[in-house]
Amino acid sequence: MMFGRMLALGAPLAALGLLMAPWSETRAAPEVPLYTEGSAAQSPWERSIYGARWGDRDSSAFNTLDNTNASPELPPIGELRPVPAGIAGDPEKGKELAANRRKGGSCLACHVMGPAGNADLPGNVGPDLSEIGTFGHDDSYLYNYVYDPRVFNPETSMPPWGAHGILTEEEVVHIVAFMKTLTSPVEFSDPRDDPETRPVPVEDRDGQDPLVNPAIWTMETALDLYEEAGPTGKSCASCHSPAEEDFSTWAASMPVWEPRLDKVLGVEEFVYRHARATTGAEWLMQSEENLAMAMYLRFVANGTPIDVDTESEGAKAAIARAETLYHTKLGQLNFSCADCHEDSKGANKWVRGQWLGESRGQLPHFPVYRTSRSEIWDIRKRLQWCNVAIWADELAPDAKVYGDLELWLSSKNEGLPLNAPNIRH
Amino acid sequence: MTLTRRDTLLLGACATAFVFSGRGMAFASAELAEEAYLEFTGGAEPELGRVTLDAPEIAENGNTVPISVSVDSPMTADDHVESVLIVADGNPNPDVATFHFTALSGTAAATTRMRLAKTQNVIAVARMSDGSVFMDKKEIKVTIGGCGG
Ligand code: HEC
Ligand code: HEC
Ligand code: HEC
Repeated sequence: MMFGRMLALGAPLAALGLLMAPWSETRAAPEVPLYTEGSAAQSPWERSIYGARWGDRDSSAFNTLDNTNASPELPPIGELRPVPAGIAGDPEKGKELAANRRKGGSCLACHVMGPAGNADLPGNVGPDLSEIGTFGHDDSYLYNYVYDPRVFNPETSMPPWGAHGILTEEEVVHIVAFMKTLTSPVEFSDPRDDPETRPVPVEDRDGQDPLVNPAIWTMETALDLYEEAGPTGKSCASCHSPAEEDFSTWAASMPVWEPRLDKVLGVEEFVYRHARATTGAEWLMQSEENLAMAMYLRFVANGTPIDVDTESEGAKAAIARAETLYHTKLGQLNFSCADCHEDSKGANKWVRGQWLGESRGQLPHFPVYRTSRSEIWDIRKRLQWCNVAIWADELAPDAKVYGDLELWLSSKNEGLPLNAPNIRH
Repeated sequence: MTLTRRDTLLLGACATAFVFSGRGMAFASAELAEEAYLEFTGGAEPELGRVTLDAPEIAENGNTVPISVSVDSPMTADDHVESVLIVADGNPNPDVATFHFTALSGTAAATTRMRLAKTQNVIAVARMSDGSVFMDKKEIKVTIGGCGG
């Protein structure tokens, strides 16, 4: 609504831009100018963006997206460890641990588990364990399932709590003691707590209403930046008509395989490399300027169905790499993207109180204003967070693998109209 | 993002007076919330009814939880809603907003967005032109993230 008025201010520039277009003499579109040196993001990448609690965790002993051989090896099926003798299990301690969110989200992230955590919004990625005490499992089975469930099921999405050092042997013994006390179905104090009946969230907020989404105001910055001369004396408007004319569909074709960089180039990295090559401005990825301009370039293409090139040799190879990565276990918590976002695994279920989406539908609305953090996140920051949250070191936002994943995600979102910016929890 | 411009526009766009007075950072208790609405009603305990509070059953933490309130009233010169107070008993400050109406308002309905830090009760109290007071109350459950965030 109000944004329409702001855009109108840009209109008189249209004619000027056309007159000054440097390629007006030639017919074929020239190669897009790109600065191809160095990093497009803060370099070296400092792992502090999420604050001390998350950013300072060193997970380098476990797989990351660019080092998938770091984690300890998968244990052989059936190789059970002895239950440690001499530790007396305390069900009360086990009950607390099961709901302790600082321990990797812990059991309630995926299981209803009787009275643990007052049965406050448990998840349902795994089975309801409220009566596991009556299932006839012996101590060895329960201990080993928690210590490392892969000895029973190598495909499981449940973390290897003991083998990856998230819980100590003693803590696992306490949890086993607690599980043995679980013999009756849980009584939820509120129907919203039951993940089987909890209403699925409906996302119907108008992300482009400035009263709903504070991110809209960032585009005012972009409108100014579009006309602001950089170190070369040129601005975007020196060479282009207003973005809503020149780039009314462009963002829907991004990201794209870029041979000059030997990687997939997304809108945010493009903004840095194109601006650097033309206006001379250095808008590093995730800087305020970069976020604003990238958001604006997506916004002006809103409504255009996502249509990325998946046919070039480079694009095909990138998508194949991403397909493998999507199923690779990462981090100390040992999750693949698929564990949370594929329908046969965690998607369309609750991880604690959060509904897990599947890959189709997860892209067209970026960047998003995150209400839980009061920050605007572009797609690369979201991908970084989906590493950090599973205790896997994130990479710099311009990392080649994030480009691969972004192209793969875009191919899964083919045909869905851009709808940026938006708002998410 | 220019905060000043944003604030101006926000205020221009809604006919709402936002009151976020700084009562310190301690979380409000049910008592503080009650104190706040009793001050508004002049000490009278509001009756349940006539006020309808519409809010999501499960909400995100953050500053954009939408809530709507409407009051059943003929909105005539002799019988209308004067004001509606919204308080939340789990936020650092219980006061969320006060809406003012006159007979010319036509209907007594308003929408706003509020910040929710944790699961809590949101209470809407309406004061009528004859001095009578009514309320509605909803518990909004604030969700818990999966990965220990
Ligand atoms: C990311 C989700 C997830 C988390 C977190 C999780 N589990 Fe599981 N769990 C599962 C799934 C899925 C299964 C179903 C079997 C399988 O896939 O291995 C399962 C199965 C189990 C079983 C086997 C049940 C049976 O009857 O055979 C036990 C025991 C168990 N989990 C205990 C725990 C405990 C204790 C914790 C916390 C320390 C925990 N789980 C955390 C996903 C999870
Ligand atoms: C010195 C002239 C010049 C300046 C300044 C300039 N560009 Fe460009 N831009 C070009 C040329 C040349 C192309 C390639 C031809 C085309 O697509 O229009 C291009 C292409 C683009 C494209 C389309 C890319 C594609 O893949 O087709 C976008 C988007 C764009 N520019 C945005 C911007 C923005 C935003 C700015 C300001 C930061 C800017 N440009 C500044 C010359 C310029
Ligand atoms: C432990 C579970 C978990 C893992 C593993 C995980 N994510 Fe996520 N992801 C989430 C949660 C929770 C959200 C927020 C809720 C939602 O939208 O699904 C999310 C959101 C997203 C979103 C944005 C969704 C939207 O609609 O705004 C994308 C894109 C995404 N994840 C991609 C990935 C990719 C790629 C990987 C692998 C590198 C990955 N995730 C791994 C839990 C996970």
